[in-house]
Amino acid sequence: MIKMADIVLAAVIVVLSVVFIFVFAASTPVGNKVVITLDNEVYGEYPLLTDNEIEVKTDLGFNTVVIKEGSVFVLSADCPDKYCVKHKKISNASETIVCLPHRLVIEIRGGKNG
Amino acid sequence: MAKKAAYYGVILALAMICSYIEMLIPLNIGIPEAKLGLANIAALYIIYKNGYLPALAINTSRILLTTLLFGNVITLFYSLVGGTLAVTVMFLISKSNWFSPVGSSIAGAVFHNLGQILVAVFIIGSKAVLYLIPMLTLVAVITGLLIGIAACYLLKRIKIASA
Repeated sequence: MIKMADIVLAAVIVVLSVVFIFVFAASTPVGNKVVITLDNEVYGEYPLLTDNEIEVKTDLGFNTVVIKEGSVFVLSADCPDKYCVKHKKISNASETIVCLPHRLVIEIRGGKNG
Repeated sequence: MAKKAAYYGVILALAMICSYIEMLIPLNIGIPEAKLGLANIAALYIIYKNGYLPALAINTSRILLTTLLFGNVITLFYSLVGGTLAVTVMFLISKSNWFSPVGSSIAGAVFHNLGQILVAVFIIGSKAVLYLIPMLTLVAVITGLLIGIAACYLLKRIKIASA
């Protein structure tokens, strides 16, 4: 039932994905700051290596962003889907946590070229 | 006409149950956006048995109804764009004799993700989410393969008079 073309299609997609994962990993500088963006406007920038707790409050709701030992995660939020809270901790440049309901993007960027 | 309504009604109900079951079993692999796509079995079935427009109608109804029942409105737009793109791509591939439903399913899963991420870029206005594409695409190949195999068996085994 599986045909040759199916396997070729799957293989091509897998190879492309893996290549892009490596390209993205290689092209990203070492991150050292945490940028929080709200509705496409920068809300604040924080150093990645300083422990911190940021309460982002808007009309849409709140997200508690925690920076601890070089990684960032969302401790709590009142968004309906809680994807941002369930997201694993991020610590590398260009990694993001997105909270769609609150239009919040937490991103790690490099110091100079990020 | 009555037969048609009953037939599509049953398929739509099954698709909605698939969506519901999926919500009960979170796929916990570190990427919160990743999903199995069980409801896509119904979409694939209709594409191969009845064609493009019935599949699009069933899929769109399924998304609207499940959002109304247990979803939230914010994700509605994402689901609609992703779902429509997936059904369209799966139909185009189903027209080619080279691919089996498994190939359609894989391509559908990949384009479902791409559609959702493009909407996210548009709504959030940040290109950062584009970095999620390769990982989500890899997951989509696997889920698409599984869903495609399931759909293949169903297409072969289920003997209901398709209206």
